[in-house]
Amino acid sequence: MRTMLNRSIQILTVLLVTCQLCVAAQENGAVTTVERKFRQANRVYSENKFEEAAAGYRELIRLTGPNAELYYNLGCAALKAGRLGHAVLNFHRAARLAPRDPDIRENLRFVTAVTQSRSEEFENSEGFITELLTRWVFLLTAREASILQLVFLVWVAAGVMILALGYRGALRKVLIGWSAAGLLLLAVNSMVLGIHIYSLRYSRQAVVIENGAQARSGPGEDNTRVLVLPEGTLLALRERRGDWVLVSLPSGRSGWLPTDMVEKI
Amino acid sequence: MRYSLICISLAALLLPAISRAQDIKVELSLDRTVVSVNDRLKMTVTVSGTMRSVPDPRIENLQGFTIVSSRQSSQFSIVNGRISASKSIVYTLLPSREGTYTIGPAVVEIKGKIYRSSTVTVKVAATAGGAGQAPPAGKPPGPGAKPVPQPPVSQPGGVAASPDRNIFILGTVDKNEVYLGEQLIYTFGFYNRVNLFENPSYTPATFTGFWVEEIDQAARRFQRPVNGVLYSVQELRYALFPTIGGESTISPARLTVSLSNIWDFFGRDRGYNLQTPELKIKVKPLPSSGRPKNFSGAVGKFKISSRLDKKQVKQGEAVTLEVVISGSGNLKAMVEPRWPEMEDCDVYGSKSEEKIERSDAGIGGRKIFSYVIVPRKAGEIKWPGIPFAYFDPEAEKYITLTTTDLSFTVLPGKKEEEISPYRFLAGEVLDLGEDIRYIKESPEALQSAPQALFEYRLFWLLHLVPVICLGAAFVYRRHRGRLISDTAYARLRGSRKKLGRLLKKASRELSAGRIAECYAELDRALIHFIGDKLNVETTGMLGEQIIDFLAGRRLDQTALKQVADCLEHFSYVRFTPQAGDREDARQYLKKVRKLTEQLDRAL
Repeated sequence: MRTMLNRSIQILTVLLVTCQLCVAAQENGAVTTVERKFRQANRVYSENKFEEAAAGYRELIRLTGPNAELYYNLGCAALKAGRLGHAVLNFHRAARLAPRDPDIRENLRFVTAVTQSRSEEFENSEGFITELLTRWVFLLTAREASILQLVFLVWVAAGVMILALGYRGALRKVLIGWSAAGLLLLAVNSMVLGIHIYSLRYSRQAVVIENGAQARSGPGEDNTRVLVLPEGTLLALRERRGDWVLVSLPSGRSGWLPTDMVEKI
Repeated sequence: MRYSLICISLAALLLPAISRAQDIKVELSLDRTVVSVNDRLKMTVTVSGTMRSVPDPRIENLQGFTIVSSRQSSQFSIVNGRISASKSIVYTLLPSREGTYTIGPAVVEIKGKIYRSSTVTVKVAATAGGAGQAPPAGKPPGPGAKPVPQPPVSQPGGVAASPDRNIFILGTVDKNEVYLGEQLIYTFGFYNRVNLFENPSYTPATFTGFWVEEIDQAARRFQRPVNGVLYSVQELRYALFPTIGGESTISPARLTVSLSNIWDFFGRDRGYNLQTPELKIKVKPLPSSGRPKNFSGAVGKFKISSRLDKKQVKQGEAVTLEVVISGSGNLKAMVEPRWPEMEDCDVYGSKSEEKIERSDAGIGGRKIFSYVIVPRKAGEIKWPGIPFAYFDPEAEKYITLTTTDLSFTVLPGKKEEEISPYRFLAGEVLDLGEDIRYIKESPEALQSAPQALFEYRLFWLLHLVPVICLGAAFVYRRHRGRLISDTAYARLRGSRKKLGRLLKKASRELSAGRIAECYAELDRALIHFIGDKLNVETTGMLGEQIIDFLAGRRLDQTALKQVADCLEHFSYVRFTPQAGDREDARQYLKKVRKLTEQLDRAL
């Protein structure tokens, strides 16, 4: 009986180890393929073959999933290939994933200046509060804000728990301060997290990716043209009907565009 | 007699008509009869007489003149019932070419009758010297003199003058053939003799292959005669330095002009689009023969000097050397003179400063190079002069200048003194352009972005942690408070723990073979447990008393009998230790465990 048990354990162990090795080998193989494609895309970029490099980065994003650095590289390749709209789109995507990366911020600032300089009408007309929120809230990624939320929850939980045990004197004052600070930080971070969640789930920002986009008063070619939107313009998506989307500018003006002329960030 | 009467009657009848006819006078006069082409003269036409309103006169035979402006004045008077009126119009005329002209008459029509003035003759001379005098012969232009501007007649590719030659533009250079880097001056001139409706629109020429410096920050304005005709001139000058050899082209400069026309009562204005001809400049390469080794590209006429700010320094202190190159030429492109190797000194950085002067001769000024020199050792430091080579395009040869030899004294410093810190002369950061940053090439960038935690339900459940902790803290606090204040509660809460401790002790005694002690612990465990549950002091109580207490609590009879049995047996074994055996004790240990669980549920 014991011998059979031992034998079974041995076989199971061998099977488990073999499976682990296979999985590791497969992952390594996949990583090696991705690394090879990455190096190849970088190489063609350095050879000024920007369209080819952009196609390579798109393929990598498809393989690895959303990645700040790949979006950044794709934005660079798109801009060098003359596709301003795709550059703006991908730099925004990269900035959402890595808002504090200095290269991403600088390139986003560069393309924003280019798109804004083309028409003063499309300057961002956000108010002071909105700009403050946009600048500071999005310095953290959504994941970082979530982690901070848990930290502050533990902070507050520890503070109120110890406070509720009824200590007196200086310790009580310290605990009150500790708990109050924790609550304040929790409240602020909750707001930040809320903005991130809204931005990711409900706020639908998009970029014009084709040159000469003309927005119409209604969803259809027979409606009056009301706006000309340069490539790279940042828009808010409001509604979709068939092959048309209703978009609006920060100034409030809106119009309908074909869906193939805009892409959601 | 009769004849005289008839004449007198006729005269009396006709006199008013004659007097009325003789009353209307038209006069034309000039302020002078001799005038030069570039001069203006005033013509006055006066209409006067007995009339209620004075019509405007018409001037005949005004060829060769342009009416620049006019001014009129009127006068009315009533004397003895008669209305007299006069109107004077003063015209300012500009002769367009020399010759002798007859102006007039001035004609006016009143009630269907034509009245004329007399004519006047005026002589228009070529120069201000007056009629009959030949224009003074000017000096022939010497070498290097500026070309005398001539109104362009025609040129292919564009019109540079209005049809009447009252407006024209010129684009000229002082040299058509230069060496590479040699300065030439391009002059754009706008010549004008008439009123303009608005400021003209100017598009400057493009100077491909040249480094351009503006000589005039704003257009110079003056008057200049051209072929005896005085023009108002606006001039802009540029200094050009060719940067590539071969043939370079200066594209046309353009000017759009709108004119005013005082006789055009509909307010229409005329305009011209003028452009200068294209200019070809031949750029010769600098000769390679005789080129000094230290020649760095300076072309022009220069001088060089040097100056030390101190003649004596302590060891470790720095001294500043200023090298000044002055003259005319491509100063901005000039690089610092090359230094010979100095064994005794360290030379740090250099700062250059330009003082550009703009004059009729072009761009000149000074370029100052500053060096910080730190001597390494004490003593007399001597240097040879600094050489500087340039190409003189007028002499068509290379010239090498050398500054005077430099020397200064270095006094020994204290031994513990170290060489003083460097004094770096900061240069300027030049912003040449902007571009996006480069891509990221590290393979570590290939990890996909982790999912945000708020995507998980557990994240939101964890928000209840503070509430749960707070509730737990309150419960615990209440529990502690009861433990302190409520003895029954404290005994009840501690009964299981105490029972467990005592049973464990009994088990150890059993394991050690001490049966009597085991039974003693079992007895204690059961009694204390019952006492804790009932909140009575059972220590020292007899078994029957304990049973009575339990009976009052309506305990199950079976459990009551078991309690009584256990207590009795424990007492028995305590007093007759030899009666207990291990197996028996083990059984009772189990029994007590079970019994206490039953009592725990029941009490």
